[in-house]
Amino acid sequence: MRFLIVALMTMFGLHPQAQNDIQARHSRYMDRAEVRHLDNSATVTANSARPLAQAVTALSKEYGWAIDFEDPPYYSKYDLVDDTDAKWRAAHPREKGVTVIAGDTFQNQFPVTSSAGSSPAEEEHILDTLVSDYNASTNPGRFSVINEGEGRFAIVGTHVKDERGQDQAVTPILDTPISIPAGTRNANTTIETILNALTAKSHTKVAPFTLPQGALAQSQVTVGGQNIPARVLLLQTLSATKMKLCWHLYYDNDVQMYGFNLLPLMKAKYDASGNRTTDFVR
Amino acid sequence: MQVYVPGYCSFPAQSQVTVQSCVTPATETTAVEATVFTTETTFNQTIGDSANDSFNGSTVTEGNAAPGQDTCWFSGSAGPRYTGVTGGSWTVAGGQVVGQPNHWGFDYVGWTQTAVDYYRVQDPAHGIALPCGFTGYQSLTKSCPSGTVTYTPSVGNKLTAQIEQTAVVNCRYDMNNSACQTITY
Repeated sequence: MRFLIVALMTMFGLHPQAQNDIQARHSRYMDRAEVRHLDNSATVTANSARPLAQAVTALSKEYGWAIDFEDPPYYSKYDLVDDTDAKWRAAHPREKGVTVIAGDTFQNQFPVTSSAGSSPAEEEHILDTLVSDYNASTNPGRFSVINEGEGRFAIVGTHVKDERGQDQAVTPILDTPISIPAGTRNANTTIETILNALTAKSHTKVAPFTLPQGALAQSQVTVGGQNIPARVLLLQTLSATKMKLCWHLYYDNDVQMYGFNLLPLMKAKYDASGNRTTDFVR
Repeated sequence: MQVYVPGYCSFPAQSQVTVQSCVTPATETTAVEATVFTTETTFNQTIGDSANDSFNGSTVTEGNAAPGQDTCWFSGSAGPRYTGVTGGSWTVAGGQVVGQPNHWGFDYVGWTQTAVDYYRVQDPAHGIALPCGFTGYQSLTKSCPSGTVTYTPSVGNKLTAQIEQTAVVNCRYDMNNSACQTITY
């Protein structure tokens, strides 16, 4: 009887071990990365499909750091894992199913001083350490840190695994030079114009996924030019908005699309009892 | 010594002090303004008090009264998990509501069209049933000479955006009323 059940489940794509693996992975995921403060150091612990992005988000919120994050375009079985729901698979036996990035746990310890929240040099050193340690881990992708100036950094994907499991260098998509007409527009329209031009030039869809539309609608931006990296145009746009924002560019190979997400900058505050809250950096 | 007057900013209780009182709204109502970006809704708010004071020119700023919730997100999604409002601020009777006394706005509520399209297709395959959505709890403060005063209840104003199979529903539950817009999409 047990054999029959297993055979039927396998026939409909419901391999029990695969479903167990998915459930076990989901149970390990953390809602958010944890930052723990020690005497002269701190640790960040993450577990998600994108553990580096989760760790970066936690550090950004802890110290109020502006850190942009950009996935590389993962595509191989070495960087992705099946995430197809068993019931959906049974109802759609001929369809491809879905994947997620094969991230798991990542922990990093870094030295920290009392000025960590305000020293770009210390921030850069910590981010370099974080990314170096991540790149030495078994998690997907390889990344590098870009100093974007004025205390702002980007962590960008530089390598994925190919179908043979070898490292393959990729050009960060926001390095793509694009051309948009110079002009004054509101920030929503400007970002849409940049992403449309980037999509056309890179042949990879880059679409606005999460945007603070109200703040963008209130900001007028004058940008444009010929063959300018998309990253530069986005930085010029954000510098003109009324909020402090950073972007997270998340790739989903199932739809072969980057979701462009603009997030408000936040910083942790601790009261006398050590209770933690976060507030917007304005 | 500080004297705290409910509904007012604090001020020193001294003789011959020029009192810079700070009247805060006692009421706020919301109304659907328009559909924008195909799947999002703008809301237009009216604030007031029993004395019919003018709040024109003051700044309304949002914060999070409580963490937001997101039932569409999955780890590895093309977007981040919704965790709350984005911290916007508005000038009363200014910006997009210029010429409308004691109005502020617009407050944008909803998922982007990209997110709606994405979650409708991807969520079921990842084991997440539709409808799904986000809920935020928006606190609002008004600028005063001596700082800011929160005028919303401690639970905040609830903002919701739900993705259904053939529609999206964006709602704003305010202090004194609520408004929802169902967009067939």
